[in-house]
Amino acid sequence: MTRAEPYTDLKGRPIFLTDLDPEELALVDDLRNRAESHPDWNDFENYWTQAVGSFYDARGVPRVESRRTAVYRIAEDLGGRLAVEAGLASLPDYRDDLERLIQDEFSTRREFCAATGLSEDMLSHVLAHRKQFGIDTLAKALDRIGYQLRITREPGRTASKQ
Amino acid sequence: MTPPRMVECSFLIPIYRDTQLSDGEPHTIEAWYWLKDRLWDAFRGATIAPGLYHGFYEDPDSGDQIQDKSRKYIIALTDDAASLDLLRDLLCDACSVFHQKMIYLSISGRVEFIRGANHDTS
Repeated sequence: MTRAEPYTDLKGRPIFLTDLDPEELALVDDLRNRAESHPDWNDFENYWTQAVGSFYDARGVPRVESRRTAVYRIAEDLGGRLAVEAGLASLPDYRDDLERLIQDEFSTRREFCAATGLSEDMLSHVLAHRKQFGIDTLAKALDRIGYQLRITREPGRTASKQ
Repeated sequence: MTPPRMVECSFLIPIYRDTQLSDGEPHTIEAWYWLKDRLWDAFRGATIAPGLYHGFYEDPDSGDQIQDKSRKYIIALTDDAASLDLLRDLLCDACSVFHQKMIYLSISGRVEFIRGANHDTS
């Protein structure tokens, strides 16, 4: 792997490698090879947490900082791919984005509902995966707080014309 | 100096969301990332046992027999109330993130069922 080509995660977000040093790049290569040769999710999770943890611990990097590194995020994503491929986990959807939006921009779900006009009861059902918002309802609610829905291609997939 | 006494703790995280609290489908990877991040920060890691643990239990609300498959996490903690409470708090939060009524925790063979703060069956 070279610094020039960014890694694209399961949500289609690029993880840039430009700031990685040669040892970090080698670790990323090792993790990718390991995920390919040992595709068992639990096995890979044990492997990468030990490898990445000891790598940054040896450099004196605090855990809260090593968790934000490109290497950690790539390792986590490689594990996520194995879980999804094995049918043991699913891809994140708009509910994960909603949860994150509420955590990042609002103090409470109540505050988010007051700002968007969504009912707390319905939000609770949706975030618990029991119900879905209608697209119009969600689009209007998000518009009130300056957000919008967007259709994007799933990473690694091309449009099916069947 | 005597090293601190350690205890082995293990807990089970079902791979499916609860059918009453949620929809019974597999968790999204974001939920697993959340757990990994919390363990990374607070305990510097954990070991995941190979495979899945198949089991059944009686639902405390409905009385129905529930079957599930879980990942088993093993973690060594110093044998003091603060460390163990930190793990209990994490698992309390995990009930919400993983949509579970309770989570099985074993501390040196002594079993506890950790309930979520918002046990919501609405």
